[in-house]
Amino acid sequence: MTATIRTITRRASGRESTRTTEVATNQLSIGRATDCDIHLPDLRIGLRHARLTISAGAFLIEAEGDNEFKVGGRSIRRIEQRLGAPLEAHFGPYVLKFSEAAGRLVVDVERVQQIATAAQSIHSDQVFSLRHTWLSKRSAAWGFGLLVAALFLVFPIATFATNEDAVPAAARMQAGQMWISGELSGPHELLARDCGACHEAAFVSVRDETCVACHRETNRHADNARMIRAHGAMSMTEKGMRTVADTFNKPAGRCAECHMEHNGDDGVATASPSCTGCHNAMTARLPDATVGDVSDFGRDHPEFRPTVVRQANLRAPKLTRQWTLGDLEKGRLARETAAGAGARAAVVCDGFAIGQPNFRGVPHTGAMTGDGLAGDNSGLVFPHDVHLQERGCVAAVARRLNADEGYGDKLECKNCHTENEDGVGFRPVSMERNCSACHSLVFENVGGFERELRHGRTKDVIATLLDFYQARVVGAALGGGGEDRRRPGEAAQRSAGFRATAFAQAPQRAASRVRAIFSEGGACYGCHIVTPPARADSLDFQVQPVTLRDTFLPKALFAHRPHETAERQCEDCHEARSSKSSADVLVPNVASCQACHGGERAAANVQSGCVMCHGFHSKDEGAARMTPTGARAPK
Amino acid sequence: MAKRGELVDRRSGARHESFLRHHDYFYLKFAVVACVAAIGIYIFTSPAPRHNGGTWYGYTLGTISALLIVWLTLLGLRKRAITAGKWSLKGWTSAHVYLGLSLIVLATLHTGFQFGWNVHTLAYVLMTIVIVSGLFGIYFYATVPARMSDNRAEKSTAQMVEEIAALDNDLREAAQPLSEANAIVVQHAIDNTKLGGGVFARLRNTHPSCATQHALDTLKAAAARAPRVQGGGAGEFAQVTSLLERKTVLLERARRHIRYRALLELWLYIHVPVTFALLAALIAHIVSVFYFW
Repeated sequence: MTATIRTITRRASGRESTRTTEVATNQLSIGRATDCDIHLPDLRIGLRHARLTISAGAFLIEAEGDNEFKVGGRSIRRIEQRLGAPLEAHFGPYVLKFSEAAGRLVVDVERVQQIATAAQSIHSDQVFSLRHTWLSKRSAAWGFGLLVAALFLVFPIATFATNEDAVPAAARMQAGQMWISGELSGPHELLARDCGACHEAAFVSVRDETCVACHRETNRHADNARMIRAHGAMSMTEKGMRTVADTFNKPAGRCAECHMEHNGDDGVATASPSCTGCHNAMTARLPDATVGDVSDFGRDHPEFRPTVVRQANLRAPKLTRQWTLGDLEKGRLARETAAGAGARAAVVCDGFAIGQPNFRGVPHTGAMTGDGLAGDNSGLVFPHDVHLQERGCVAAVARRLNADEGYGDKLECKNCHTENEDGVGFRPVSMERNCSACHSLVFENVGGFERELRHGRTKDVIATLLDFYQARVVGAALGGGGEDRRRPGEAAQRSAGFRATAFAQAPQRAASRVRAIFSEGGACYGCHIVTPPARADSLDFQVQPVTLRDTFLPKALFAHRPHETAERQCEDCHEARSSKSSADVLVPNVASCQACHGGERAAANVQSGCVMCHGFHSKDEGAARMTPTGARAPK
Repeated sequence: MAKRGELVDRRSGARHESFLRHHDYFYLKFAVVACVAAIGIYIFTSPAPRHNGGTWYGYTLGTISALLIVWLTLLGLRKRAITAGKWSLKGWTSAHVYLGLSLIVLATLHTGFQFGWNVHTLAYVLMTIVIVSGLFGIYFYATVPARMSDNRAEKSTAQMVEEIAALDNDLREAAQPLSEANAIVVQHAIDNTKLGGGVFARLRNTHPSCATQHALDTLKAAAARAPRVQGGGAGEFAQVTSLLERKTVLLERARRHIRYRALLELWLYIHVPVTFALLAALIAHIVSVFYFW
């Protein structure tokens, strides 16, 4: 009897059971094999793992083969120990405790590691669910959410809310780019990344003051309160939308209501319903309105009311828009009746010579002007019919001037009316450019040297004529100058009496020249309305100023060029050939436009919205008009 | 005969109606009508200057869509309280699916087909990702559970794990007579056979370095080499290899189950986090509009 082996098993309940085996040999085998003296059934243990040799007062443990065991945490292959000294050796999951009892070696064998497998050691859900991989819904949700909020909410607000100078321009641009809701219109493109330029305060809609700060010159269509009054009764839908807009602090009548930015170049409201919302039956709501009611161009547009000159003035002419084309037509008929057929029977071309001082105008009466009758009182006497005759003296003059001066066999409209480069209107007609080729102001030709009057300066003309003719009479009397030169010494032979007479008569002779030029048959009289002086001895002739309109319809914009086709002649729209007076307004009526142009939704005709001709911000006179967006751009 | 999408519970015989067919496709019909109406209004109205988020119709669609997104998100809270009846969780889920899909139409009309590199389009893109991931979810929920249930053979996941553990114990016993080298291989198969693993391993379901398969291969080779005459040796091999073979079958089943679970769950790992990114983008989108009003 050399050793006692006690195999200890602990139950789950904590109860301990011990199986004791007595061994009689000095050599004990330790291993997994069933015939081992100390049987350790675990795959981590070798079949014959180690050998225990007991000698007098000591014992020796030696591992076999490559096996090892642990004592005090160290893996070793051999240990010798005095009997009685305690020793714990670990073999895989087993611990072997060596002790001594009554001179015998006692070995307590106990499994200290429970049987566990990889499969058992984990909870089943951990195996099957993705929850235990690196994926995580919660952290990803927080991560993504906060990242987006930081980049797209906190960063832009922090940038916009900070003083401009403290934020790098690049950051502001980036923030603007993040939030921009659509491209700006072309002219505003520069402001695209500077949100604060228009959006001055957070959560406050863009105000008109901000727009007007730059657009100082832009004409308001009308007073805002008046525009609201002009608007017809709102439909239920409109009322609802108005309520919503008011609730969200978007007041009515703002610039931005029509100028819907962030829609590229399409953002300006140009649909006709915006206009007819007010202008349809508006005069009932605004009795003092100066414009007529309109609901659709094709069906319901008032007749044109040309703006004509009531009193010509070089600086501030008086204009009126009181007549319709119908009124003006009546005025034309009345003028022609008053003038009588005989007065116009023959055009006097007698003595007409280009570049000669003896130009004779056509006799005219007051009825040639719009004076007192509906018509354009421009102050100029200009019968279109005479100038457009295919035969007669005007055509003859045109032939004489020939193609060198740009004339054909007769006078054409384009000889005087030159189209502007933009194709919309015409260059103003002027004496110098358009009349003087035929209507010369040369009054004398002295030795091949032409003396010419200055156009448009009555006082200057009178002074020039007086100076010239007095000097000539006096010069002739003195024997110098003048047109009939004499041989030297001849003057001296003239009598002192002749000279005295010449000096005395010179002013009268000069004055008669002045009177002639301002009277019937005189150069000025033909085209201008002259008021003779009150006293017979006075030379204070007054020429009525001339004001020529470059457009009779300033509230609309008519581009001529798109209407110029091979078949279409000026006379198709402008009855110039039969017009006997410059008081005639040769504008076509609305019906002639409606022959081709219908309303915005016309089926057969050219669809024509309001803005094709009218500008919302147009001023009446004197200011540059905005080109209506709908108008076709001149080629 | 049960219609497609309708399963009959094998034990109770109760008819199972999927969330897709709930209430005879009530929410599908509702969503279709809503979408057709939205498209009709879009075509037959022409707000100035053009359709986009800033017209009366744009704001209307935007408000509806935003509220819808918030409501759809609330399924995450609602699903934690399972109730029956008219407002059952199934009904809620059915509405979640069909109304969520209708957002593709409503939100697209809201944009007026204006897109750009900004927070507005970001919100739209995130919403699209959420919806598309949801579509994957619907597909997997419609196809995977049947296969999963066939594969499971009416065993719970805990039972699957227990079976494998029991086999491990048997293996431990059966491998006792094996030589050092072979015992180590078997022990390795017990200790180091992995279930689960990384996301991609779960989806691929290929396990080239499976310890159990390796042990099986090794022991089969050893058995082939072992001399037949030496009685007992081949028998011990036979028991162990038989156990290992059974274990590989169980492992295959468990791993297929793991793959199915991964398919059922993976889309949610996109659906849920991107939803929260979407909510943040949606707030930024709305705030940006009113901030620069």
